[in-house]
Amino acid sequence: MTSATEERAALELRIEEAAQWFVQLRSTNMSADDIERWNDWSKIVANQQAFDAITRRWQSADALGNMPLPTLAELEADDYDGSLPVSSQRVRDSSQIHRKTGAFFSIWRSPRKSLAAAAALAAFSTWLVFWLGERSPADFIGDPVEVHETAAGQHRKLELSDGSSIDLGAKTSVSVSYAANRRTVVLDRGEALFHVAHDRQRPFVVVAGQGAITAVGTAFNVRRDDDRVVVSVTEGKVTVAQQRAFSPRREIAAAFSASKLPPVSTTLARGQQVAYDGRGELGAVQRADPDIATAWRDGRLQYRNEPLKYVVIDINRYSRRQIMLGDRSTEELVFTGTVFQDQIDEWLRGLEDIFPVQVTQTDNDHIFLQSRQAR
Amino acid sequence: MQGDQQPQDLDPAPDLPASGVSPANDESYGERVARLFREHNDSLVRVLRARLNSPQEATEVAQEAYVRLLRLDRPGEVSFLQAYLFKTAINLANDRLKHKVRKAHLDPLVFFETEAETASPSPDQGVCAQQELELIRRAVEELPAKCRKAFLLHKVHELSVEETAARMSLNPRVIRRYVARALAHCQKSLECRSSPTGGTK
Repeated sequence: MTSATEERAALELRIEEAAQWFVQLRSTNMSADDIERWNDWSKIVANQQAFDAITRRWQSADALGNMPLPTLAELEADDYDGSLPVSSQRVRDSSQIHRKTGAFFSIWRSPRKSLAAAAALAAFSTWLVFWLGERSPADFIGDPVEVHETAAGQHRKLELSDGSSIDLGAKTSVSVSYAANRRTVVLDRGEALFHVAHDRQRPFVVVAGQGAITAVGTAFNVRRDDDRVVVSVTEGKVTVAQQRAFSPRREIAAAFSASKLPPVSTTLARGQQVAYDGRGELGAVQRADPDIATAWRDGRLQYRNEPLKYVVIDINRYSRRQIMLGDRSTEELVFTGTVFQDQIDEWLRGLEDIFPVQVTQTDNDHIFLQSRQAR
Repeated sequence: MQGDQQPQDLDPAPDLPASGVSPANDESYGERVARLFREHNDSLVRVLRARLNSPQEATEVAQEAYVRLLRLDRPGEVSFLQAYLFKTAINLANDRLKHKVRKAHLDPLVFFETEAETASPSPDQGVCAQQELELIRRAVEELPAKCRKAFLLHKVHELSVEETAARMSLNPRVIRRYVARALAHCQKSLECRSSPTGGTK
């Protein structure tokens, strides 16, 4: 119990720090010192997660548009100066309210009674938390989340409690959360092949980047290269939907302009593939050999007409040396072929023959690819 | 590897000048940039995300900053490469924001477009956008009055920190403090619901 409380306190502290960093980074210029301190702080994974969460909250708060500003009376009654977290201030506020009323005044003066009052207050807040908890919808993620990660070049198979399984590719991270009416897996990065046990009552949803893939019982592969996500179906059917909030303004804009809104969701069958980008825009559905999409499990990375940019992000999950692309024309080169996960050096050596690029090893951990024309 | 087989002097690269660095320096310019990229790219992109509100744009700007770094005529003169990289990227981000604001005034359709791009809240492990917004709204309602006002003026009414400070007759430092506390409070309210045991990662 104590460790859970301590963990909670540590998490809250982290959130406070993340929020302070966020505001500082947004609105001030960074000195060399600031950059050092920021790099040190943001090296820690838990800090990164807190910061990214704060960034998302900031974006979501866009939709608060119509909230009224506080009244003058409220402002005058308020003495909060921001030096403590809001929650501590609120505890102080509530005790002050009690102190103002005569009946409570004596209670807070007498130690025994004040103890009892504090206990009552604690009981009340516990009840309040439960009550608020009850009110949230059932499919809300109050369920435990398990995080599974693989290192560079590593594969792993996860067997889930419902009989579904996930094959994790290299440098991949998934968060699994099962609720009574929904099975949710977030693909934070990398690539995974999902074999979904049939359960009509609990759809299986994979959230990846700006989209979500929903299946009832089927098998499909999801590859995430930064913000771009490619979904390929090897068995059955899935629905791919973009995770974009409905925006009336966007609808109006589309109605006025000649351009049509891109589709919001699409259904894929076996042998089909679709990609979407960082804005959740779905591309055209294409035919794709399921064996090619899942060849990574056998040590091969296979591509058909794939921009080099994505090929490299993919390969970097298997390579000890990280490949960097120096210019846009190199990123846009289109690659078709097979890369063996244990023969990446050979592949790099061959690149200069098929593309107008130069391969330079900058140090032990990095390789630069850049266009020969650019020089 | 490939680089070892090619003598540097056969193909002098004006864009990646190792010449700008003194021979005494073990690390070539390209290596320094590569190391910067490896060690600090994530941290740079996060800074840009905080400013730009779109992950896509943040990545684009970061990329452009590296390209500029690699194209420097005399990189040897830049002694604080990291500071230079961050500064370049932040300037590029500021340019973009200015450009966007100007465009928005000219062309309503462009305004709609950018609005739609930035207004998509990304889901947190399956929390749906409406639920998230409801929790945030509740958290903001709970904020002390001045803190709430500062947050709403800056976030929703899009006043800068300085403008907000002037409006409320407070120091900009205090405004930043309020906004940070408000954001932290929103996030904590969400974490409260999503992980009752206190953090699952």
